[in-house]
Amino acid sequence: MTGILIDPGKCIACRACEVACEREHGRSFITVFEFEGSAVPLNCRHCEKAPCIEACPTGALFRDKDGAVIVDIKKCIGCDMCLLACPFGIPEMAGKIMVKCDLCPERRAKGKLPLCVQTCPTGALTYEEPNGFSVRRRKSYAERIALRRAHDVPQL
Amino acid sequence: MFPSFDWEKCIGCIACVRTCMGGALSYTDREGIRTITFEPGLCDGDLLCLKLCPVGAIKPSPKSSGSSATFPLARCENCGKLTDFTVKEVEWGKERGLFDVFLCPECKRVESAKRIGEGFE
Repeated sequence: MTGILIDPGKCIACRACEVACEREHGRSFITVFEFEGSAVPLNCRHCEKAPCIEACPTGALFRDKDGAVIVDIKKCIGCDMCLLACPFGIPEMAGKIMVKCDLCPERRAKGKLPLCVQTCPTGALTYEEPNGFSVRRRKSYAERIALRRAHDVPQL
Repeated sequence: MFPSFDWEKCIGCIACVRTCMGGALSYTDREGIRTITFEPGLCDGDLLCLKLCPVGAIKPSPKSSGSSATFPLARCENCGKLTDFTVKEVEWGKERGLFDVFLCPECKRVESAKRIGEGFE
């Protein structure tokens, strides 16, 4: 299923994704965490086996046709069970209901990318199939090995 | 019909309180203790609470009687901060295999971002 994939190796912690998300939704559902030597943008992973969907007692969480995990605000009662179940701490309360990343449905309907992905200047965020991502990651690692060999640099 | 509460079974998640239209169910979180109260005078008998209870702690009953129960709130196992979740909710989550270590939402995010980042060092 297509989703937002993170490459922390490319993130420069400019927080443009946070600003973009806030512009689209009024608040940001993506957060950049900075650590010594790395930065990680984190948003809802839209899990294939989503614990939040299983934990929701009212059936307010559902998966749309593109695979995004969405909250039905008419059904959500703000009980926090999804937050208890989420391994990433993603769901947030907004007043009496829960809100989260929805992969920009209005933009997707027009064939556009989620705004954080569109905005990311370094390509740390991509919207693609996980398998495509794996192949690309594998290829870039193989290139690094080949380059080191060509320039006689000691192997990693 | 009115709801009758099995407070032993209840984990204190307050899904029922959130859905109660008439305000018969209410809760307070004070000094690390959650108190849930059922006031039958305000109950309209729609039994929405019964349908939503994740642990089946509510049964229909022809008689209505007020009751209440208290639940200690759980602390984050990383930063020690008091959370909005009860100790029983956390135990329920662990039994269901939702998590092994209970973290507050803030620690969960930082810890998962850190794990992702460590893979790239």
